[in-house]
Amino acid sequence: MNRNLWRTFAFWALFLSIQTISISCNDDDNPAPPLAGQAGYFIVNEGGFGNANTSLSYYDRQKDSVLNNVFSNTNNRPMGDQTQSMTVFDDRGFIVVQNSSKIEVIDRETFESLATIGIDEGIVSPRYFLGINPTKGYVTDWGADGVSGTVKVVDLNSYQVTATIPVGAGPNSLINYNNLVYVANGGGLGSDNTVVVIDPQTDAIVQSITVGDNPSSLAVDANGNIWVAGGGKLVYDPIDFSVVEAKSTPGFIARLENDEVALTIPAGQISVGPANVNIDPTGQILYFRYKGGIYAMSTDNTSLPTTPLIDQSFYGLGVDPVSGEILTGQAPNFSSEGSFFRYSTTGNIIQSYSVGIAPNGFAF
Amino acid sequence: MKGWRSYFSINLFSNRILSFGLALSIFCLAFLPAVGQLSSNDTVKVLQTVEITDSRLQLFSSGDQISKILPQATGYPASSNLSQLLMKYSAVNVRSYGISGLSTASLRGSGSNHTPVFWEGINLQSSMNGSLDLTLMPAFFLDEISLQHGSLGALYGAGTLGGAIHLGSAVQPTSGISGKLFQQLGSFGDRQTGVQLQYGNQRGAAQRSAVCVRAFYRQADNDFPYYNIYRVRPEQRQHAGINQKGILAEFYQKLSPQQNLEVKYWLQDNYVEIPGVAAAGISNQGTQTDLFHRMVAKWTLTNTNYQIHARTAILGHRLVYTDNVIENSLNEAISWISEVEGTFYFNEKQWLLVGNNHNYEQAEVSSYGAQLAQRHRTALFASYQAQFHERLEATVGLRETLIDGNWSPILPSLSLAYTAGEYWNLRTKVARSYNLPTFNDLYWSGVSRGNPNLQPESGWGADFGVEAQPEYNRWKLRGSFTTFSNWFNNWLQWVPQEGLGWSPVNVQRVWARGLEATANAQYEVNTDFFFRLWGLYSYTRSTKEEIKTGGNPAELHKQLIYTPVHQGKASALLHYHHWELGSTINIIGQQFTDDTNNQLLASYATTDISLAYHWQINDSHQLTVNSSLNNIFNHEYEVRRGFPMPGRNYQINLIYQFN
Repeated sequence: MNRNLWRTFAFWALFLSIQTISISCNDDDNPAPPLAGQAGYFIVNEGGFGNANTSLSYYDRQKDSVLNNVFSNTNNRPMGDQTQSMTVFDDRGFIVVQNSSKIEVIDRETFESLATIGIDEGIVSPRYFLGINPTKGYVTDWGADGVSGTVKVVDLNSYQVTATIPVGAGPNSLINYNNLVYVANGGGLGSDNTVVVIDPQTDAIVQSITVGDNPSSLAVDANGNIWVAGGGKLVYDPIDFSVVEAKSTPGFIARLENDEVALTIPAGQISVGPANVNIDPTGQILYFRYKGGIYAMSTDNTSLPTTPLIDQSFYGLGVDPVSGEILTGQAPNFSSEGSFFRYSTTGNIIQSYSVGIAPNGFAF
Repeated sequence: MKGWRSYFSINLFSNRILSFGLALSIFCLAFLPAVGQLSSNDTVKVLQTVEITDSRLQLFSSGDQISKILPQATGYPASSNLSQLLMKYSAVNVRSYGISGLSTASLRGSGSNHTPVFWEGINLQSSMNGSLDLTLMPAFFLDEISLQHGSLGALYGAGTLGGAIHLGSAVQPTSGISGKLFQQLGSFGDRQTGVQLQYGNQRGAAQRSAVCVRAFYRQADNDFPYYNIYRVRPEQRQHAGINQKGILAEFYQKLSPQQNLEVKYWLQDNYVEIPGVAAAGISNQGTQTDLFHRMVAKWTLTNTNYQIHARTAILGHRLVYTDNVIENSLNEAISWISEVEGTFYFNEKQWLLVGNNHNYEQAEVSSYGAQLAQRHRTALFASYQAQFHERLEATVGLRETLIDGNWSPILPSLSLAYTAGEYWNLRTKVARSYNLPTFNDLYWSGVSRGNPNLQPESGWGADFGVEAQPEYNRWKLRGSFTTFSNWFNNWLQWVPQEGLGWSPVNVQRVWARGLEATANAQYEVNTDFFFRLWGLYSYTRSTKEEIKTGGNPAELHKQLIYTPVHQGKASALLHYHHWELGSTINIIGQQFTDDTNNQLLASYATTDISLAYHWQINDSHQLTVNSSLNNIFNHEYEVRRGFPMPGRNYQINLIYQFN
């Protein structure tokens, strides 16, 4: 979740906790509902593509344990094939199951299914969800061909797609900052190099910012600058499938200030690019996956760090907004269970847990 | 496109491997006159009691468990495919991708490519991916289907870690013209037509020559309705159709009282739509065409004390795969297999088999990059059988292969068969087998890469079985109970690499063990009124006992995926005058769908019934109407996660035969 939203929740957390303390002194029968990320958070298990075995896990902070298969155990049906991400918004969990062309909406606490937004409603190949307000959300969608990317506007009462905004190829992450929505066009099955800016009041694109090749993730720092990480472009020789270095471009991490590219730091070589950029709760340290490890970089840096904070390859990365812990998902392969790790901000392992197949992300 | 000639540009006598093979075969033939002089008895021993057409299967496998598939089949089995027959009537665990999807056989907890299919003694497995799609094998072309359980490396060479499926198409003894026509109509747009025409020339009791031509055409839409549990709505299965046409021509000629020649040519064209998982929102519209050419020529010489078989076969396969992303990926493979084997009879108690097999494989696949994959193999095998005290038969076998200049693991086998009583026998076998990496494993290029340094998978298997065949009054009973234990070393698995892509590694050691129990009962009032029952139960535990670097240690001691621990199958047949009522039931226990055994595929049971009426129009014309209702309880089930199977469905067959 972005910084703005976090601040709002933090305020309400404080407000409600004061209320709770005063109320609980009088009435123990109605405890305040857990706040986003306070009681626990979700771990998204992607599953093996084409194997229909994606699942959802939940980490309970108080018990310090993980519950697996929470979706299928609660709703008595399988979740589908290949979940790309999950976003928690307005006490609802939006699970984006890309290869099943649907978004499963669940109650954040009980995990019960509230709705399924599927192909009949207009969802084709969804990637990430962003809540704008309790009646509106945006979903990035790769389209049937993987290159005609759009942002679908979803009514969160009727769960129907009310508008479609064409954005670029392979739109991935999207964030909300300063009343504008930023969408990174990661290329999908083709390639792209833009971050588009949408005004959520009008659902119209107000700007398109050109960055490096295939930008895939976004984060906002304490100064209100937007960081973009991308993998670069790999071009293969059509006959022997070797990488054509001359036509390929390296990955990068870029900083946008006032909707303009202020700094671009290219990765040292092609075929390795920073991915899954996350910001810590203070908004001053960036974490991302890169070169088989997890790297930490201060927002003041102008070059990529040379040594990783955690020297191990992971499939999923997240940052706990409450504790600042670094959360990682490890996928030994796509046919056996993966592991979820909690690391301290100094890169020391705190605990590991067994989750589903290929944990790729977290939702708070 | 290369022409056929370029494939045979080997200079015959400068190729060391080929000349080694030829020299060996000549050596065996030269050995014959000496053997003939050893025996003082002139009577024909080879053909007297039983016609030995396949020494390896009939004689030298006496210690093995062999199951014949067709006797317990109900309905009209010729209208099925090999996948359905093995699934319903054998201990094989058929792993399939749904009703028209790829099916492979896994026997005794072995891998999907460890039980090869042999047709007329020729191994049909693909050199590219090591498999043979059982769904594409029409039962109409097969007259004999036998399943041989256990490691068969000594007799049959590479790939036989779990067992082997032997298929035969036999030209029936016939005089004059005869023929058969069948037409099938079934649910979900299933139409099949088959034609068989035979001409035979007999002199006295001996068949002089015969020609048989069979052809079939099949079209099925497979658009069955089902409830999609992933997308939470009732749906109709899309894009799962299949279209096949094939012709099998067989020619038999008796060259002399002791020699005969058979030539067979099987041509088949298949078009399959690949539906993908039911959980996927958008189908990737994958389709695949497979064109097969299978030609075999067999020559047999039978003499008083020996029999020589020589066979040569050419197998061609052209596979084209297309989907939304990949355009017309062309994969072509050709194999040339030649074999000479001699069976020698020393006396009533001793037999010897010696043989040489030469196999040349070549594949041209766009995903191999610029490489042309090829492999030469030549093998020498021998088996010796001796009988002791009229009760114990011991068979010892040995096989060694030279593969592209490297020696393969040597494959010994020992089996014992003991006649314990009038109705009882015991048998046991210990043998070694191995499996070569496929061309895909060695040469694949792209983001995922093959590994040219792969070792062959190898393993030792042992089994022990008891068989009984008592008869009481009109009851004929037969039961067998076998326990087995197989170790597979250097089992290959594609594992993810640092960064992107996957690569195959000899990463694990698997131990498969369990038991198989079968029972047959037949009650005959007279030839017009009889009742048959068949049942099978198998218990299989197949777990990874060692995982090397590159693999995932969390998979240790876990059951292999898609390997059910329990399987139960049964069939019943009641024949009364012109009517025949049959029923089949299959109960497959739950299976794991992931390597760490956290996700399950539910167990399922399906029941089929069939009713047939046979009408003898006159002496030379007959008509049979056979109707089947499958999955009569409309059970909703999947055979693979994301691949639903149809509910209740029917089939009607009309079979017309003359002469």
